[in-house]
Amino acid sequence: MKLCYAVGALAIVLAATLGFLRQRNQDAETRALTQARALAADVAARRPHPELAFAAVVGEPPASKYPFLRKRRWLLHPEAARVGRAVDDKDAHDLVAQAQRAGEVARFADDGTLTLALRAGGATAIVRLRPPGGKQPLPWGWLLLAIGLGGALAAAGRGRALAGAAGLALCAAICATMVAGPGSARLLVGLAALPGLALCWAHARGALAGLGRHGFAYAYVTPAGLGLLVLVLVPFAVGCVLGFFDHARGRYTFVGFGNFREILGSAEFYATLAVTIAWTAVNVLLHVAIGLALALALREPWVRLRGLFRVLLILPWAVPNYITALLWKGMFHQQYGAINTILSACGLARVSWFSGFVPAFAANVVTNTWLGFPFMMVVCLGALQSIPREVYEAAAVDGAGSVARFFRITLPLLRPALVPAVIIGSIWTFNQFNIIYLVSEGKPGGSTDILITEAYRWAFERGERYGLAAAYGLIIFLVLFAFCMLATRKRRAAEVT
Amino acid sequence: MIQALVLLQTVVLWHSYRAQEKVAIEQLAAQWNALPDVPRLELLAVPYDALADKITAAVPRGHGPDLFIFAHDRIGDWAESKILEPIEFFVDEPLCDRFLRKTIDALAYGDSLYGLPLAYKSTALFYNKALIARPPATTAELYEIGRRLTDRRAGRFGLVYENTRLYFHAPFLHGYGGEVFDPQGRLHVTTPEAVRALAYARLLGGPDGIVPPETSGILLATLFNEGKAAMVVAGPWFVGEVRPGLSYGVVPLPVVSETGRRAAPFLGVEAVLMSARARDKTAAFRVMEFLTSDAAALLRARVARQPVANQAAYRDGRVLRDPILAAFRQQLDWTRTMPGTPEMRMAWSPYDMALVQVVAFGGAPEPALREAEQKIQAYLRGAGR
Amino acid sequence: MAGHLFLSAATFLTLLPVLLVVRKAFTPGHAFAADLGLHVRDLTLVHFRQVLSAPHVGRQALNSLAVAAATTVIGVFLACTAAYAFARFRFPGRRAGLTAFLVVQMFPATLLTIPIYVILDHLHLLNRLSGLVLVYATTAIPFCVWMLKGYFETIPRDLEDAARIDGASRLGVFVRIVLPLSRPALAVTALFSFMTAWNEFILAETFLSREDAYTLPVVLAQYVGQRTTEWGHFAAGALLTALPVMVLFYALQKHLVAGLTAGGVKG
Repeated sequence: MKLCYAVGALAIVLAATLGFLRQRNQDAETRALTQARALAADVAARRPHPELAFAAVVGEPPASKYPFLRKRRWLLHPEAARVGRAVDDKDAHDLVAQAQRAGEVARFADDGTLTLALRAGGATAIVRLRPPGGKQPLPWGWLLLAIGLGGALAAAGRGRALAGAAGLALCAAICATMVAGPGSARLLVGLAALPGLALCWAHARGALAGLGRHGFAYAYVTPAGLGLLVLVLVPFAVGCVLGFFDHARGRYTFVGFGNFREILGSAEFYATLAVTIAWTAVNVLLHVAIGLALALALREPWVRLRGLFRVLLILPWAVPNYITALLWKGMFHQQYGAINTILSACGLARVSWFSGFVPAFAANVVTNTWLGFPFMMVVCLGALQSIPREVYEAAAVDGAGSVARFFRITLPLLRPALVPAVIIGSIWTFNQFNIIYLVSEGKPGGSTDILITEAYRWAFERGERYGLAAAYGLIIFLVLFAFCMLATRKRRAAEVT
Repeated sequence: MIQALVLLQTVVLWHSYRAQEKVAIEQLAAQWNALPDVPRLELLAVPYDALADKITAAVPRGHGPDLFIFAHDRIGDWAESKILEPIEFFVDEPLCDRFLRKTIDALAYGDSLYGLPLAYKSTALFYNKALIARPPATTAELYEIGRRLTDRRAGRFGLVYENTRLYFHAPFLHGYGGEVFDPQGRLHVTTPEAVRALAYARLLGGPDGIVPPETSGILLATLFNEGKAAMVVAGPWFVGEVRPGLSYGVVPLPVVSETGRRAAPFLGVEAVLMSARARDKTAAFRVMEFLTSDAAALLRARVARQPVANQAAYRDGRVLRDPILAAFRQQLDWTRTMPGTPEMRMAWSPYDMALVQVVAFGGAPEPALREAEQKIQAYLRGAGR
Repeated sequence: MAGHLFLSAATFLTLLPVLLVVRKAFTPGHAFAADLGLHVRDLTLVHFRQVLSAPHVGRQALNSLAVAAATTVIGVFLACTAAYAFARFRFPGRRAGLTAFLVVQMFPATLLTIPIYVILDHLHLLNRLSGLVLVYATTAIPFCVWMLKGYFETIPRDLEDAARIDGASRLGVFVRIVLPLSRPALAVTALFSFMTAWNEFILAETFLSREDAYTLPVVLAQYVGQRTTEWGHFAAGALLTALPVMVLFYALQKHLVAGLTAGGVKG
């Protein structure tokens, strides 16, 4: 709950900051542009402007048999020297070439210098203005205040929806003020925030006291948490924000929930989601079943060469999976693949693995199972050690059979170590990109694609729609989040009983 | 002593060349670095998979190279997102005349020039000389010869090519007069010509066909090397895959019997491109000029058997006598330049899907093409084009 | 007997694809067949020779080893402390923290390459092995925390309480009692952390821009071209890369199966 608030608050702050920056910069840019346009028109009319950093007027470029070849001789044109200082400048050359096509091109350099090229009649004028005084800096103070207040309030919320909502509203209001800006609004927001602040203070006192009491625990958790915060949470926030933008031709535009509408509005999404869920369920089930079976078998006292078996069985995990995934793909080949060779040797029909959804899905699952069971086996091997042999001995005395022992002793006692592995394994499988991408390649017709491969295709094969891909990422996140909440809730219930 | 104090800038170049091509570029770098008064050239070999993403990530943040080598088909994307530097400022007509016209034209995007060509890559027809005395000149002959050499039960096939990929289907598509985008850049997929090309691909890949199902690059090499594929459609990269000792020839792809036009594969041009954030653009351009000089091209052609982009190389006896380079040079005249636009990059996978639909499942060509066209159109709309 | 049969069958199925890789590594040429023909004609070591004689390869192996070892040490250490706190203490934010460790796994990493690139850039850790270690350790920590927490919870509390009464400090209890008892789980997490770093190439090839800074998976990725792959080199390289993992696992497995000692449990 708290996390929801914190993430929400962070997202709002980031989105608002972006909006704010854009607006501020736009203001400065528009002013500079207007000034430059007037000057360029002047220059085009051959009125001298020696005070300009750079000014030139250019005729039609000389023709060439190569359409892209425009000679740079024009930059040294005597006319150019008359209207301003002319230099042999590549950027200016490129800009003029563009302006001759597009009519007007403006470019802001990193230092704020504006160069504007303008086509007027047969000639093209180019002017360069020095920085108009720089762009507005990032309002760090306001930003930190917003983040701090939002975070504190969200933390203070502690399940109390009202306080959390107040925190979020405050954040939103502060951010809105940053963008909109009039002083009176700021005052209003400050007043509105007072009750929230009071609430916050009360809780903060409690929290501070708690911090002292639980210092040891916090000291243990903080280092790992810090790393995650920087390297996972921040990129995650960036991804979230990106989900609300659309990318085209190297530019991002804010589209609100447009990406989500597009995804959730297409029937294909639900089919892909169903495939993804089936993919995850089948794989995790097989991983755990095979891994557990092997781990149990390896524990039996009659097994000889245990060490050798164990080492051989983790090979699929050890060999880089790029090569083995492609190898499996080859083994599923209709004519030459090993699988069909075996099938036909057994008198069974050859299967065209990638021409139907079911066989293609099966091929993916087989590959991923092969790759994934060693990990589960190792986890189970470790987890099994937490069950003392005495428990079994006691059960044997009680006369319990091996099946009963498995279900009544082994499985319940394995739970604490196994459940996290299953949950995390599910998350990984849900986002398992390589296997789908390399083995079935989504065939036939994209039907075996899962959400993550779909997201990848939007980002890299269907026109660099990074925003849409990020929205996919966010949806994947929400689905998994819901799943984990359910799984851990059940688990807590089980712990109580 | 004083000269030693003159600090010369280094020029960093990223490439993903392997094997002999890597040897050639390293030799060239060594030659350059031995010249007096030049900025040092530093090479970095990057995995091919990573190169494009690395460029996209690194260049805007100033960590990219000054120069890099890549195929021309990403130029559109990179020019629009300001990753590439237009270089026509440095270029004059004599320099352009150095190259085969098609190869330098491929590097222009929106009236600007974005690189100098190193080599071109297209497919051609490889054939096993032990199985085929005279390679086919027409598609009808191709099918006929192929039928004779196909024995499905024994796993022998007349022709092997990746028939569910547009890149390898393109020669037939163009030979039949079809296209993906018209010269004005408009989507032009569902045409009678494209339908006929697909029907031919279905004939080749169908039950009476001469092409095995589910062909991949791995399978192609294996079958050709085992003598189970009499002919394959592949590019210059395939030369390194052929088992030493196998006697094979390379010829241009055949004439399409129905239209009398040459099957025209896509042309890809490998070029040295300049990053928009190159530190010293003049120095970087000097390196570009050096790597694409006639002498350098000759070295690349000899060491790596690269189909180089320089005209002069093909007047050199040693290059002329190389049957493979000669074949690819001939094929060049019958190629269609792959559009270097972002639009083209959205067309591949829907078109591939149509090919699977028709070639693998025996579907009707027209609806499959229509579906592909709608998909591409949807992607174009989505990307705001 | 049935058990042995089951284990042998499983091992056979497991090994089959690996054997194909082995076959490729020892046969000349770069074409890669996925059929079952195990007729091996001309064996060769040429791929291994070429892989091992590439420039920088020794340095690159060291890089891999250093990155994986550092990831393992840092990842396991941080995960241990955090997991212990989660398992033993009740403190405000415990549940949220635990959930956070899960949640961070959920946003697909495939889409995060560029944001992580930007962050490493700001931290000046781009193109450095330490940057990779940081990323890998944070990738590995969530699983390690959950795994260890689950295991710590199975260790009877009485043991620790007894030690505390005997005058041991909190840290002393953790180091001298809890950790030794958790050897199996530590072995699992160590292996997992090591593997996370050892086989990763997408981030490594994006972040590293110096040939002598490459890790082995990046070298392997170099064998894959646009249209052709040097399968011979790749197979040989993959086997060489897998070797240290096998050695590590062999070394770890006695800890993996080191159960709670009877005496310890009864306390």
